[in-house]
Amino acid sequence: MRLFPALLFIAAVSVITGGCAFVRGTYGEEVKPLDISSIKKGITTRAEVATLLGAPERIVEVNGHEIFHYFHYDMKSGLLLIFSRTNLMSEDVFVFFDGNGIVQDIVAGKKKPVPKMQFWPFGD
Amino acid sequence: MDRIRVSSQISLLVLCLSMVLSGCMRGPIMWQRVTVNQPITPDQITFIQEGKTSLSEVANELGTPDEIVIDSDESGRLLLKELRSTRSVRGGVVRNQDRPTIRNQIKKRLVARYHFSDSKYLRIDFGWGLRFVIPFYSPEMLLGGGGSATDVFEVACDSQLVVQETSFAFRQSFSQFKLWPFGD
Repeated sequence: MRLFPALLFIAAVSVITGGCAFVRGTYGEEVKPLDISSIKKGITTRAEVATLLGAPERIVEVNGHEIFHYFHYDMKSGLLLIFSRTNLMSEDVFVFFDGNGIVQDIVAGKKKPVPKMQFWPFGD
Repeated sequence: MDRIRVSSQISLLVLCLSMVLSGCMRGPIMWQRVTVNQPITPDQITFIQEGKTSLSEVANELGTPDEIVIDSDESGRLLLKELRSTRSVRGGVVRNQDRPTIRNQIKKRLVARYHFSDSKYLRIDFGWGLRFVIPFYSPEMLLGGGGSATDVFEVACDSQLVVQETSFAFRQSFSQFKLWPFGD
């Protein structure tokens, strides 16, 4: 006799939680701080940067600067019954070269926070 | 004894069906939201001194920008547009509005952009309950709507990557859950 309510409870839980999904995805390879620290301004060449960090996702030409753009996306998505929220965070690194193909500057700021796993779509 | 067995079998069947079909259950109402990155507020950029602060210093405080473009005729439209707009007209807020914004002065600058995108969508299916009345045909009668908007913070730099100018465009208020798709 105790089996019946127990099974009903499991059925109810499975129906309620059946409408839930938690998903995580990433795009691109994360650039490691150690690799960035081994790039020296005024010394490291374009080819050495490509060896260290790999081929850039994008190459931008701005005012005679060649810029290697590396990016990495991290996504977390939560769905619970009728609420769904997806948070996406990008992490970028820019390496600037002078006309001779030598690193002029590196723009790799503080690491952005990891996106939150949320399902509540209201508020901040 | 038989009665207990039958009720157990029924409950087992209900359990199996609910576990198999629960993934097909989509609620009659759905609130959805997608955000990309995090917002930057004017309070966070008070450390920037135009003509002194470098782009690397900005990145150390705010994180690396999402995009770097040349502020030429092709890619500088947004900055130029925002520099000329005001909060009352488009919801944009601009620092140093009194600064002359002649195209030649900001032409050929390098512009670093930070984006925060927020998209909201609300949907109600008024036909959802009919699946319990008409098992083989459940029509969808949907009303839904929403909005998507992107806040932009732009940092214009000279060739030495020193900040020359900054501007904000706040449009997040345009991102709203909207149920009624008709009207203006």
